Amino acid sequence: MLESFKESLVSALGNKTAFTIPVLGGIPVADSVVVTWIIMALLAALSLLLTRKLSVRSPGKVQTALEWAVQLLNDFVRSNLGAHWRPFAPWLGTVALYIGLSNLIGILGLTPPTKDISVTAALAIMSMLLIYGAQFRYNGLLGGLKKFAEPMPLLLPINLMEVAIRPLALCMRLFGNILGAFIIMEMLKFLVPVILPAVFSIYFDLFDGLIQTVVFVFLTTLFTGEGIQEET
Amino acid sequence: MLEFEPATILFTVINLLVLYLILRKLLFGRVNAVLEQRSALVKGKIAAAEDNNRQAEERKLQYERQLTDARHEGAKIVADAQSRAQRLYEDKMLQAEADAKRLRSAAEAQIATEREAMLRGARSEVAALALMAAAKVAERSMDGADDKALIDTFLSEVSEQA
Repeated sequence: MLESFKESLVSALGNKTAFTIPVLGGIPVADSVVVTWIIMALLAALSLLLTRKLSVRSPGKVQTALEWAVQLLNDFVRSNLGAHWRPFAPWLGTVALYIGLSNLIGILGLTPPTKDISVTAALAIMSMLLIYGAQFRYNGLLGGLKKFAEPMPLLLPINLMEVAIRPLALCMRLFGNILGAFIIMEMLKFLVPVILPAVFSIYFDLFDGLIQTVVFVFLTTLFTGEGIQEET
Repeated sequence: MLEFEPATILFTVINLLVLYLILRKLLFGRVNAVLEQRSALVKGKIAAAEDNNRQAEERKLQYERQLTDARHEGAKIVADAQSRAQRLYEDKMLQAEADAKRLRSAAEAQIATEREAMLRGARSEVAALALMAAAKVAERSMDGADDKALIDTFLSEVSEQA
């Protein structure tokens, strides 16, 4: 029985391929990509639905909540990025919504896309491009390079290593947390099939999922801010 | 479990970019537009209100100035009127005094004339009575011109003595 659980757990940890596109020798489309499409459709539909009747003078309850959330995001991004915050807020908001929904969608019985290390790797790559793209975009080529020698030239090797370490850490942290929660939940379900999994699910699926979302977005924002903010 | 699948990474990057474009247009763009419009609206309202306040303040000052001017004007008019009335009153008083003086002197003159006339009448009366009395005494009529002249001389002597 334990053996069969081990086998089922290992197979559950692998990333299943939903289907293969029969071109260029077959492009595999993973489950996580399909679930991502579902999330995208969900977010697009929700956005369309919620922003149908926006009013400047008399916002409804839904609009007030929506404005509060967007304002929260804007304030957070502005306080971390300074003057050039504006173009970053929608991207960071998008990432937050995507990771948050990905982490939570396990509740509906779908595979969380963030359990696939390729997805978190893609997210981390985008964060890296954002962080260092912004650093060079707002400081120029030379200014961007100079940023690697801050706060002191001695830290240059460490700063250069961070280019690889930061995205790796972002990728692994998100993936590891979601995977770990997934494994613990599977084992709990195997050991105590009733009640206990529901209680722990509140922590591992809801709380941890949201915390990891905040951590990922917060770190990305922080690193970006470090790269573009003028030293005071 | 730990294998990176390039296709999935590529798909996810594309998915993220597409999701970003969708949400930027449908969610963040719209909500931010509303937020900006509202803040612009509020700013406009505040500016308009401050403008109105300033205008009202200016108008108030202007009205107060006008009111002060009007008060001064009124005081001046009243003072003018009083001084004019005073002058008029003094003129009238002087005229009245002159009139009274003139009337009194006229009355005095008239009284003097009347007294003269009365004296003359009384004198001729007395002369006639004296003539009658003298005629009775002399037992003859004394109506000649000589007699009359005699009486008149007598009477004027008497009045000079009186």
